[in-house]
Amino acid sequence: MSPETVLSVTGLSKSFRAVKAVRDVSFSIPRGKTFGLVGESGSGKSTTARLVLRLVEPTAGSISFRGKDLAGLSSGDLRAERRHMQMIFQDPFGSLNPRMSVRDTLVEPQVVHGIGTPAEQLKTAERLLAEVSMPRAALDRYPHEFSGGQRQRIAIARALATNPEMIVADEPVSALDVSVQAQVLNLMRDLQDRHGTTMLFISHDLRVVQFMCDEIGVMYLGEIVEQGPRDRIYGAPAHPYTQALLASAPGKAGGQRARLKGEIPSAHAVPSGCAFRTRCPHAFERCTVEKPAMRAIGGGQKAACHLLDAAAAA
Amino acid sequence: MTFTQATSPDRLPGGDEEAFVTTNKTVWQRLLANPTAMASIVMLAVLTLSAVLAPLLAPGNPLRVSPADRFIPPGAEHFFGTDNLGRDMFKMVLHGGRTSLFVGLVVTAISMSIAVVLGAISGFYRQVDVVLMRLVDGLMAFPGIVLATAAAGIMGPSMTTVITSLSIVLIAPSLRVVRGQVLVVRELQMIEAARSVGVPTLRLFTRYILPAVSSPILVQASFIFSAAVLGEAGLSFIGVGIGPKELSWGNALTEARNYIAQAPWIVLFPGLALMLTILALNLLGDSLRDILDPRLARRR
Repeated sequence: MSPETVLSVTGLSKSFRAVKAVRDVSFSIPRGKTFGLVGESGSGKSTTARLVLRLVEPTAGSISFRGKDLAGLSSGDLRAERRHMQMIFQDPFGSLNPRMSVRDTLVEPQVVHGIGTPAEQLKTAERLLAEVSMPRAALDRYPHEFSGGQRQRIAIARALATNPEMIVADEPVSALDVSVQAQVLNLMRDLQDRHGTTMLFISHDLRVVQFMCDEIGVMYLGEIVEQGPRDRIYGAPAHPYTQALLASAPGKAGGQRARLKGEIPSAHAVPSGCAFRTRCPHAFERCTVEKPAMRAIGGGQKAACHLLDAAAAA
Repeated sequence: MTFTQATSPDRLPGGDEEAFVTTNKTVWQRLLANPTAMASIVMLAVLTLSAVLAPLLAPGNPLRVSPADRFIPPGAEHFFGTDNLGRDMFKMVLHGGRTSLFVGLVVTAISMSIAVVLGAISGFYRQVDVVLMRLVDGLMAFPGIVLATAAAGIMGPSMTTVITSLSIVLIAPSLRVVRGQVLVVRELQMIEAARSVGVPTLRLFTRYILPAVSSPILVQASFIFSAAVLGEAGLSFIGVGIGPKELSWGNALTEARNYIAQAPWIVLFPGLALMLTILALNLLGDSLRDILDPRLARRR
């Protein structure tokens, strides 16, 4: 692992009893870059986000963050390590404590990690508010007094309060109006540039991911089926699922590619062989019996599909 | 207002207060606007004050026997009349209220404190929950009056006995309420958010979970208070309460029941005091629930 890699996840899996929510997920994020996980609901994106932060205990796999194996940390050490990794949640109405003022909300992470004196903590809170373009008057207000976008700004400010190396953002704008989404996304990008924060960005919205991410992993039924730099994924998608996903996106001419049919199968009963075969327009016998391996196809792009073998052989 | 501002409510002109959503009424404001709640609060205040100020309002030993003054009906001399031993009922009711309300307060404080701590732990830790809930089931299956009688048999009838046994009996239902609320709150996203921030478990309880369950706890406390006052009266009435040397509404009723036909006022006044206390506490609990949990109020 190069020293510039902040997060490296290997073989991460999570089963909830019979349900395999996340299966053998591996990726790494270089410092200051954004890795996007995209997929339909039920594809295991959010679970992956929680596994990375050990908010959910992984069944298998390792999470290397800043050179430490998170999976092996004791609960006390893990809590201390949380200073360096923060999260932004989807629901700006649920993730803030309704009984804590904005001041308390922004001071809280500093207090629990013992950062600064009370006066310094307050100064930091004021600076954070300014950074997310909120007036200072907001300090003594409570979450219910704000709109969704304003609350998400507060949540972002809270995530920045400990000056973390990595932020995990789980669908941070999907609960917001479209007009507000762009503002919040721009804000997140500005802040990332300013602080050099590494980001794991989860979204089902392809346009949002394209805007935010340097590298993208496409998830289907708990697995990453294709992974690569943004321009490769959007310009030359190799996996039929990625192709179908892009074709289904609004505003794209979907005529030349097959759109997605049906729904994602239940994680209770993952299809044999390739998990995507039940909805794949190109599926053939081999897909039923053999699980395709991840295969590098140049330019840092890789995908798991038997069609790529055939293409390589031809 | 420009078009951009109208379409994006999130654009905040620097320091503009109007950009915020208006504040809801505070609990206190809603309490003031609720006539039932206010009537109960006033009633409780009067009862509490009369008990606290009993030595001033009705000076003298309330237990002083005066055989010459037996069964005097209520009048200017004795506001509430006198009983079979010539004791002044006004003094008895006021001084008895001191005991009754004190027992209610202490029992509520003890049982609610234990219920909140154990309920929070039970709701938060699954393994503890399994064990604790079976214990609570056992406790709830056991009739409270039997437990109190047994306790009085062992420890002798005294105020300590009454407070101890009532506290134990009343822990179980409150523990259930707290646990149920914590079970709901622990799944809220703010708890996961707090954990991701790195908030330690104890702070999670004090700053996130307990404030979120404080409303139902407050409502439950008012019902426990009334159950405790009624419980003390009941225990004293059947003779396993605080003992005949102390005064309470329940004790006053015990003797009075023999003379109910002859001198109904002996029963009327302690009974009325008891009834008004229970009524006010229950009404207050009901209105608090409506005020603190608007979802319940709307469902009616």
